[in-house]
Amino acid sequence: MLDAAIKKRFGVNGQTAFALDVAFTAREGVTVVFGPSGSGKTTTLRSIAGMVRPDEGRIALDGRVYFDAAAQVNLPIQRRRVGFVFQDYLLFPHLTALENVLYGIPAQNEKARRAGAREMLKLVGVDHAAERRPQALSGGEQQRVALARAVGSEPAILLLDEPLSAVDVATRSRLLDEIVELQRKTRIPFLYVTHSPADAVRIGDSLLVLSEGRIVQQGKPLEVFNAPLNVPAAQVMGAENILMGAIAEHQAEQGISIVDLEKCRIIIPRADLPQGARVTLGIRADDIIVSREPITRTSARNLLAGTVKHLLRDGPQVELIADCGVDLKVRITPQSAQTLALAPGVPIFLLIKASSCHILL
Amino acid sequence: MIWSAFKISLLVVSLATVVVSIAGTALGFLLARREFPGKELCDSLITLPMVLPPTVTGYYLILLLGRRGLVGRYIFALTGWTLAFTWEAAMIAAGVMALPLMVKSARAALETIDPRYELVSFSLGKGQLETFFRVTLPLASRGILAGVVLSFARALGEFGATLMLAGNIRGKTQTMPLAIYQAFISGEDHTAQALAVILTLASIAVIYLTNVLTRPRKAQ
Amino acid sequence: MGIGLALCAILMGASACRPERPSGSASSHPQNIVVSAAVSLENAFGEIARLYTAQTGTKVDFSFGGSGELEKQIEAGAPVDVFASAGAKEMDELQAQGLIVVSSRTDFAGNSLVLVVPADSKLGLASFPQLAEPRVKRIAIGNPQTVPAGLYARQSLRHLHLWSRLHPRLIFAEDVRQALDYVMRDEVNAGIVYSTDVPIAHGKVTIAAQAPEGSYGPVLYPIARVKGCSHPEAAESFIRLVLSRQGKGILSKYGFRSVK
Repeated sequence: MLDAAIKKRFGVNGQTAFALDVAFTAREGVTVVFGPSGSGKTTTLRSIAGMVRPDEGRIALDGRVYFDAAAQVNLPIQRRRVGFVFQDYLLFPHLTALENVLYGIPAQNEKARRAGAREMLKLVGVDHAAERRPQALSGGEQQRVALARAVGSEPAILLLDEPLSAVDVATRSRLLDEIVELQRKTRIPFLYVTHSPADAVRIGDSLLVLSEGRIVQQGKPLEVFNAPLNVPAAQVMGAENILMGAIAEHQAEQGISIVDLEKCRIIIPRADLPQGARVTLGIRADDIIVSREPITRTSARNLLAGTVKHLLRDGPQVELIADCGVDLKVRITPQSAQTLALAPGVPIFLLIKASSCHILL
Repeated sequence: MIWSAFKISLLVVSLATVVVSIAGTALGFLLARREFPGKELCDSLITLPMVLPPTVTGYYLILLLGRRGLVGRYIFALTGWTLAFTWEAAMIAAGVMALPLMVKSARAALETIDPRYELVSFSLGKGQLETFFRVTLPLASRGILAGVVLSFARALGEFGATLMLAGNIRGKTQTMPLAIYQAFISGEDHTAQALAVILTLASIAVIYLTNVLTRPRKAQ
Repeated sequence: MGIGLALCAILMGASACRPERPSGSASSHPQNIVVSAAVSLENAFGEIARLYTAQTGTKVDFSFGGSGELEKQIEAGAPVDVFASAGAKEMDELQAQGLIVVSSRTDFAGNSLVLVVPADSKLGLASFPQLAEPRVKRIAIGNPQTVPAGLYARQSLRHLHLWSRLHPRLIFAEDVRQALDYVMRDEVNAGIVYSTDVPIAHGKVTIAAQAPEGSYGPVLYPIARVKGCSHPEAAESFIRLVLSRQGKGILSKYGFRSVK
């Protein structure tokens, strides 16, 4: 379990250009640190690793204190049991894949170490490339070796800094699943930094949302995404609702497929996925229409009944969070909110076109 | 004369190269990786012998290490030993002239290595020294080796500062460049030619080696 | 390998040729003449040159060094007008190669050899035989092969039966002034230089003993015009000035002996 409280100021000529002030706890599973560029995600990660020294705060992992400003404790990187996976892998170019992983394996007799390294490569599925140098590996293979290397050093926590940004789209999906599987197998807590909503939702057991150096919301990914609690969180999450479900059935002649979101069903355009396949949908908040009455004779294939949870006023627009079995955020004008007398608890209906539902992953 | 000069050159230049390689790499690492007050001034001072006329460097070395020099007088008082007319003096002169080349090569080579590789090594539990020898040095090896070869060449050809600090003493400090000079003014033309040929061949070997080492690595 | 052989060939060929001497473009009032002179003549010739320039308007470019080195430069074709060495050997060698105008060759000064020690030396040396004592670790003389002062020193030491015993302790200098410098800097316990060199040290060395008359030399400085030089008339007039009463006076002022 990671307990972190980090304060750090960055400035030029005495002026503070950026201030990081976060405090959180990360337990088992994958904790996603989500936010736009410059929000402090990487600095947070580097502080935990020991690559950056906070100005104030305390960092402890499983009770072991890595940093404590008041007690003047600051363990160097090598004394912290932290594994780090970089965006550009940073595999040692002068070593083979096996030697890269072997580098971090803790001291034992040589045979045991080599066996351990091979095990790690097998775990991530690249032991066929063990004797190859990084230059001869694909992006996906390199990232897997980087994961194996970091995990092989038996860290108490694994820090991943946007590890999939440099990987092509086709490989990303597979790698996301593999990362989750790796976490389940090794039972090491992962701290995963990303600015991609789809990745965050797919991989995260819990989510920390950062904006301008502060945590603006934390919780389960889907809850956080589709139900931001405040304006900064809403801005960070963006306008997209993210929903995870499975293909329930296809109606080819009608040109549609039906996605089961457990608490409700959504009709989307005909999808080229097998029945039962897991799917992540995105529905933009601007694409949803709110009505006080059920309007049936429209071209919108989805009509969901629900209640208003809360409203967030963000300048010239209003973000309405609705509970329709799943949480959905809707963007409307202040005028609409006023005209329709929308307030928490008011029953509403949401109209969504099938074509407004995009498959993200 | 040829054999004696060859032996002295071999001794002086080999030792100077070894010392300079180690010191130069260490200094290059400090300049590439660490920040400290007066860093660029340090770099300028180290580079000075490369830019100053060799006789000026020789002059400063005498001021420092001569029998009456700032440091030399204490060495003499403590041990009764003076530096002049010894092969050690020739080695120091050659080393001082070669050091800037080594430092520059090492610094440049180390600066091209992404410092995050070192962070990776730390995160895998390795200390500074182990990281330097297992990661940083191998990655910078080509540039550093090129520096070693250049230093060797510079030390081999050293004349002016050696003449001033060590003297031109046959059998003690007369390196091959000094021997060529001596042979020439004594009218021993064949000796001068033989020595010149040896030095030219050595220089060609140096150029060849440097080119091989600094050629961009082919993609595997 | 082929490159190495080609280079050998070039070097061998180069040493066999003598470069062309520029044919005398003799103008009566040239701007400069080039005088190569033994380094012990530096101060005296400097003053003579100033007199020469005042009288004729011609400037003198000097090349001072060990006589052997200067001889080699002339052999290699350096554009020297006048050559003055500290001994006959170098001039003889040039004469044998037909590189000097024999009629212009004259001995113009003499010198004597002295044993000098650092001014603060505690060794109490007062004679040449004392050099054999074990506490005398290093003695500087010019290289006998290329520096006349070194040759004279060797003659004297041989005469005194000290040469073979002292040989391992001798430090050969490139010219007599360098030998003096070694004594001045305390790098050696003693040195053998010309008596005319001592004032140059500005008190940093003291004379311990005179080399016995007749044990060396005689030290005779010859001067001559280089054959085929660019400014023969100006060269001749410089030589005439050196040999004149004025020139002799300046030389004697600096401690050089006159020649009978």
